[in-house]
Amino acid sequence: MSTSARNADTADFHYEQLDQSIGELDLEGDIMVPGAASSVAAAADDLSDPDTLDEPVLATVVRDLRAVGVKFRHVFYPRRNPALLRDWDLWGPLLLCITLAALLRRDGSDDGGGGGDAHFAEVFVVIWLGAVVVTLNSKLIGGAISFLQSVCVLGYCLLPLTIAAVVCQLVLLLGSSESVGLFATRVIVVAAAFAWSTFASTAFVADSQPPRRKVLACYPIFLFYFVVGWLILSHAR
Amino acid sequence: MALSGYVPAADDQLEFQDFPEDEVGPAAPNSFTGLPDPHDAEEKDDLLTGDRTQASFWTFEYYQAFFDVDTHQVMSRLLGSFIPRLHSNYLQTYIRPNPDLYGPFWVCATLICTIAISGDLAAFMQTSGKMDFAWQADFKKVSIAATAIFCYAWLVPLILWALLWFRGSSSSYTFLEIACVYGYSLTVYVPISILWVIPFVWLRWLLLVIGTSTSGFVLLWAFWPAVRDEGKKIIGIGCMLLVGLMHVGLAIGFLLYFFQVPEYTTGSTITPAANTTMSTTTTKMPSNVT
Repeated sequence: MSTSARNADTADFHYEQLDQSIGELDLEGDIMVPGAASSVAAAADDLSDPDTLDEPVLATVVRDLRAVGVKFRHVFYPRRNPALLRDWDLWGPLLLCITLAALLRRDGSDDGGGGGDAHFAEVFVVIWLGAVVVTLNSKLIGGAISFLQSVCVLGYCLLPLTIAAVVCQLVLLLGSSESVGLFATRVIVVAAAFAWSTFASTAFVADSQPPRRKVLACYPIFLFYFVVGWLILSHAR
Repeated sequence: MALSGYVPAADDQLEFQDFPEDEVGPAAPNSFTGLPDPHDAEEKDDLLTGDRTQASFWTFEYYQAFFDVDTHQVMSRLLGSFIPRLHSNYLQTYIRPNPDLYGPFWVCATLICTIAISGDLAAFMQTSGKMDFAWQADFKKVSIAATAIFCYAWLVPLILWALLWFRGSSSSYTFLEIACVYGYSLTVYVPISILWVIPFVWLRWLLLVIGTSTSGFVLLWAFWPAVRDEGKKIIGIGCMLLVGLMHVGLAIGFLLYFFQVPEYTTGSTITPAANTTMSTTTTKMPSNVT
């Protein structure tokens, strides 16, 4: 048998298979009409529906907030769950960064120089630039993690430090910054938050690194949270 | 006769065959060549350092080549940068196979943080007796520290490399190697700048002398072969003197700029009572820093 004849046989066989599969295809379905009340209600009921064009704005916002909340929970129980890495977003980091920068804002009347806005900008830039540099470092030493995934993890893991900043602000409202007891409280709170942030983010990021470079990837993260923790601690009024 | 008998046999054999998936696994190339697997991480460093392919300047892989180090390599380079060894040259034994930029960059970043933070801490302790001192992270100090350290770690190697190149040195030190040595040579200032928080002037100067002499010795010893067979002795010795003086000068500059107590109140000096509170806080604070 020649080769061309065999090829023709095979082609025929494929066409037969294709015909059969087309015949078995289910071509029935509902056509969604945007104006129709029933279809809109059905879309709104089912939150897992990928069609989000027709849903109310409130539903969109609530769903995004819920996703942010789920990630916050992951930061507090840093299991080896890839969910935080897979569905990354930058809403949480933005929220935390603005909160932190607003908490560490300096009073404009302070004659230390700069005014309130300068300190806000400094904290904001330190956080984003630090996250970018740490991410670049982990990419450069060969980490298998995408750029924005890493920024997302680093940003979400600021949550313990943001809480520490809130606590420190409350402690400062209680008494003057000169009291040793209150100062010790702030040191302990910030140190605990710093440890928690570092632990949580390294749990996520270290997995993406080759085993012999885990320390090299974790050290910049440690330094980054240390600087943020220092900014929180040094904010005395 | 022999040819006509041969052709049909070849026709039968020259057909595509299906091999099962498990036979054509990732280990298959080894069975043909007998060479070790190049993807094996253990063997990669020894085999591929000699003929590493150079990626294009605009690609990410080009920069990844500068960060191709492992933890134990970085640790030994950090330690070797301030532990003097007479019988081995730091640049040729530690840096030579592949100079990296990971260590220099993060040593500089760490040094900026520790110097700015411990300078703040020292100022805080020495003025904690006065109520009117507003203690804050001083961003001016951070930016000055960053400018000084990064300029030192990049410009001095550039000048040194240009000088060696201009004089036609036989050592063939590349710019990357010199920059790497310079970056690691700042390592010793990280623990020293943390210890500078302790407010005793004699201790600070003692630490400075110890740190600069050990790391300065390693630095000079690394560059000595490059200028040893220099035609004009005066240029070689001047070069070494410049390297040493800049290394010491940087440390003295750190100590004088970041750790001198500014006078915030008019005419009042630190009382013995303030000194005792300082020493009690001293014992507590470094545990926070380290």
